[in-house]
Amino acid sequence: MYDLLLLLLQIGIMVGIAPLLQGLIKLCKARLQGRTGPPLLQPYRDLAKQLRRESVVSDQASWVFRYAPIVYVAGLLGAAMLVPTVSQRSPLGGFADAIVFIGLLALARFALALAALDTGSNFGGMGASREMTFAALIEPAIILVLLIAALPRQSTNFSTMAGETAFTIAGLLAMGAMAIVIIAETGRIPVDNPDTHLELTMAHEGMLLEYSGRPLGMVMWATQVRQITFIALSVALFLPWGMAPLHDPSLRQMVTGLVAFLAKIALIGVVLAVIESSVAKLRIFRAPDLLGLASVLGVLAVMATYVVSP
Amino acid sequence: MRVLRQSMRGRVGAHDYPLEPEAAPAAFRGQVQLDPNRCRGDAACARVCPSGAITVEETSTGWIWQLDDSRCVFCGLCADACANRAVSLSNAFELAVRQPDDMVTRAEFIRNEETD
Amino acid sequence: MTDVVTSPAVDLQQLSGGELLPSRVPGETRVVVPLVTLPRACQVIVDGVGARLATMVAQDERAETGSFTLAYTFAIPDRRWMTIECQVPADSPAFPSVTPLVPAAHWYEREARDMFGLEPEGHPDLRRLVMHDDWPAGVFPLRKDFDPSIPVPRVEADPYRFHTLHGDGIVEIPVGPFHAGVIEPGHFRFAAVGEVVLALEPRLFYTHRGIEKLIEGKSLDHGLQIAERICGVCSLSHAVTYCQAAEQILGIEAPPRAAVIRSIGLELERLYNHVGDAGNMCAGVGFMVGVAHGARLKDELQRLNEQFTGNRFLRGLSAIGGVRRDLDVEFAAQMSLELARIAREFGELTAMILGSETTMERMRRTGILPGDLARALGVVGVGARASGIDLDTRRDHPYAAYRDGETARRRDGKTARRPDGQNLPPSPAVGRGAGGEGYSAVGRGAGGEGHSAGGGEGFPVPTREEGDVAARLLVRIDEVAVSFALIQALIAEMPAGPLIAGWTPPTTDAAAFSATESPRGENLHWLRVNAQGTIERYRVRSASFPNWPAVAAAAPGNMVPDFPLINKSFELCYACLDR
Ligand code: SF4
Repeated sequence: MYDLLLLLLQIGIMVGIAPLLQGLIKLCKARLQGRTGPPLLQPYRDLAKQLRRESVVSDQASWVFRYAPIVYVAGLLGAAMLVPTVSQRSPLGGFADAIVFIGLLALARFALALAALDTGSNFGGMGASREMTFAALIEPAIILVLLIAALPRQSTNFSTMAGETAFTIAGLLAMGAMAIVIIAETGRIPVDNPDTHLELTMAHEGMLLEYSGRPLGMVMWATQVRQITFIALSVALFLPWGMAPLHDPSLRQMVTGLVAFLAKIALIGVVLAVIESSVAKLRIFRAPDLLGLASVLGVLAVMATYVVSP
Repeated sequence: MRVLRQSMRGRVGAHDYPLEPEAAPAAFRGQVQLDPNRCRGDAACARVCPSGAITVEETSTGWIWQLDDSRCVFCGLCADACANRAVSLSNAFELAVRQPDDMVTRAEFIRNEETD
Repeated sequence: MTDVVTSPAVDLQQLSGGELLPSRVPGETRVVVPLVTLPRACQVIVDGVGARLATMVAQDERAETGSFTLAYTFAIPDRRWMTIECQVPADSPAFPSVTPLVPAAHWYEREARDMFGLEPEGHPDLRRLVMHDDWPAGVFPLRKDFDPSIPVPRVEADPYRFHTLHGDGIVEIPVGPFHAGVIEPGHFRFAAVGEVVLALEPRLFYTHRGIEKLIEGKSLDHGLQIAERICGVCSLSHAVTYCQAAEQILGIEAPPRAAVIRSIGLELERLYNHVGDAGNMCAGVGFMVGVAHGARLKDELQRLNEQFTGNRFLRGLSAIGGVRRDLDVEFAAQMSLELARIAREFGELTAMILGSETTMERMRRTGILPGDLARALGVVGVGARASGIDLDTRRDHPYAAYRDGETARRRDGKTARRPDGQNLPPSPAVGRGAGGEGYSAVGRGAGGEGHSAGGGEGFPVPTREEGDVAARLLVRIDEVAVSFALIQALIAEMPAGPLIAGWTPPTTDAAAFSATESPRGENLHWLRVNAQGTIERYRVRSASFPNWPAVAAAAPGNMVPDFPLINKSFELCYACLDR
């Protein structure tokens, strides 16, 4: 019963708050740049608009193009349900662990990249190739970060991983890796530019170019969920304060957990906006250097775990 | 970081335009206006208009002055040409209409023998 | 172009081996050569004195002389012009192509082929340029017997053949003409291996407007209204160029006060363009703070334009014989204050952009246009100056208030200041902060070494040698400083007097041309009126025309996602081509 309630709560948070977080980041960026910026709730309106719209599908597209968004959304929602948010308990922790989490993300990404290639449009292909290049570099880093969290507890189950890694050397290195992972996974400057519609520079946006209407709305929403998932993951692993305990939390603990979670997410959102406003996008050949750094940090963290703690 | 501090110092530049009205400067060349009390049907405006936006048509009793906003390029030649200062360019710039016909302003004049 | 010719017109005539004709504008040497020697004559002028092909005008004179005429006009480094003309017989409309010897003639000759049906024999690329493939063969819109009022049926034709590269791993990336943003139509065909561009072929001219045909038969006054609307962001420059050509024909001159007001307007136009572009170049690297502030400052400048002339794009300021709006003392003082504030804020913005290491790192060594290539293509404006070519129409062919030697000398006394307070001439050193690292100070600021004395002497022309995106940004920033200083100086010494000189429509056949330095480079208009006082032929060579091929030349070797940045650093206009 507790798990079911937690699951419902988690769906509400992840799916419901994701556009709000997007709006917050956009608003912060606008203010940092001296612009008025879109209202906080604009992403909801955009989604509502897209979901109401009719979808136009290229006659070159096959079933891959049509079903990929479903796989994408399902994969990301599944992953989102694994991350502990309000309490230390992972809502679907009984079914899956961190390895599945990575698999689900990869599945979602793979589905979208396939769809982008499916229509034969150049930008889709270009976007997919860039996204996969980035993915090849960023996924090892994610695995390593999760590994660091898993090692002390000897378990890859999120429920036990959450709230463990603190300020050890390994933890700090992993945190650095995680920061880069978040920037890359949320498609932000300096790796990708979420606001650009210059066809030639897009990575993630390039893959969405052929979508319109309801599938586009779904994919956009799922991407926002992906963003909040990663932020929530870093929060669970590195900023676990205020989370409700694993077993039988009181209502008060749950409320504290919720408030703390929202505050931490918002904080990271603001930090992302600051980073994005203060640097320019990297040259596409330089981006792998940054992403590689994430993996290196991850490896160092693993080594540190063994060297420092027996 | 330094960049951001500098950036933040600047104020937000934009107005909420459609909500807060925006006035054009005095020198602005907007919609063409006719002062019916001054117009004497010389048609100087129609002759100089490069885009054919103004037409003046002689009738048996007077003349019809007509302006098609959709053709006007806001050059102001008509205002410069009018010896009676009947034509001027106002500050109005919100010229959107729902029907194409609403772009046309028409004024019919009856010739007054006494003043002519 | 340090090669200096001090010889009189006769030398040029002997050089080209032609027969001297009466010149049409001061400083022009005009010769007519036989058709067969045309390419050689052009090559001699280009190689011999370092001339730059400035325009090529084709005319249909079959009614009068029974032939077509071609006139290649060159800009000679010491402020003169050289026009080489020849007659192309009506019954065999072909001429030996100049392009193999003078590459800059490439597009001009293709355009003459499309518009007049004159076949450039030996031209390496005879595909359609201006009129696309659905235009029927054998219909030439600029010939006098073409009636524009009759709609031309479109035809099915073979699709345009792009140059293709074959090889392992080479992919073709077609981009446009529809883009994902609201920009003008243009098609870019990349050949790339992975993310590296091997070749780029742009295809432009998608929205041909027939302006050169439309304007034929119009009065000079109505012609101005059309000329002013060739381009949105260079509209005053086009208007002034047209007015000057017309004034040349009429034998009048704008009064001194009008000349100063025109110059102020032209500098305002440069300012709002350069300021906006400096910000926009940041969009190419995703440095959004720069974009936002550039856009804000640009808008403030445009509001100033609006208060000054009644139009954000400075339309309706210039008229044949002078200007239509005065700049009263009160507003001038207010403008001066506003500009000083905007100059300060622009200084902060540039410090921010140049101080952003990630931004500058993207711009350096990206999109390099080598100087010799730029010279061969006849590139003008910022693109040329960033590749080490010291040219600026304001100094080289002075007009409006730039002609006034007095003003120039006084201005030279007060050196232009960069927004950060460093003196600009004689050497705009950029050793400041991260921005200038690796850049030697190459600004030949006061620009006059080797040039003969005269009016526009001492006019600061910032140049750089690197030819990359960063160089184009820095040249713009330096030019903004010059423009701010110039406007202040012009406001301070406004002569009194009338605003406009009177004129009557011409009654004889006459032709003239004129050039101005628009924000994008030299605009050159060639105008001919007939005995009825209406326009007989009008040829617009906007700054974008010779510069577009340079964009294509600067792209190979860069990465595909860097192309938008390279394109923005040239900031060319599509509409200026689609006349
Ligand atoms: S402003 Fe120009 S275009 Fe408009 S009506 Fe007057 S003359 Fe015609």
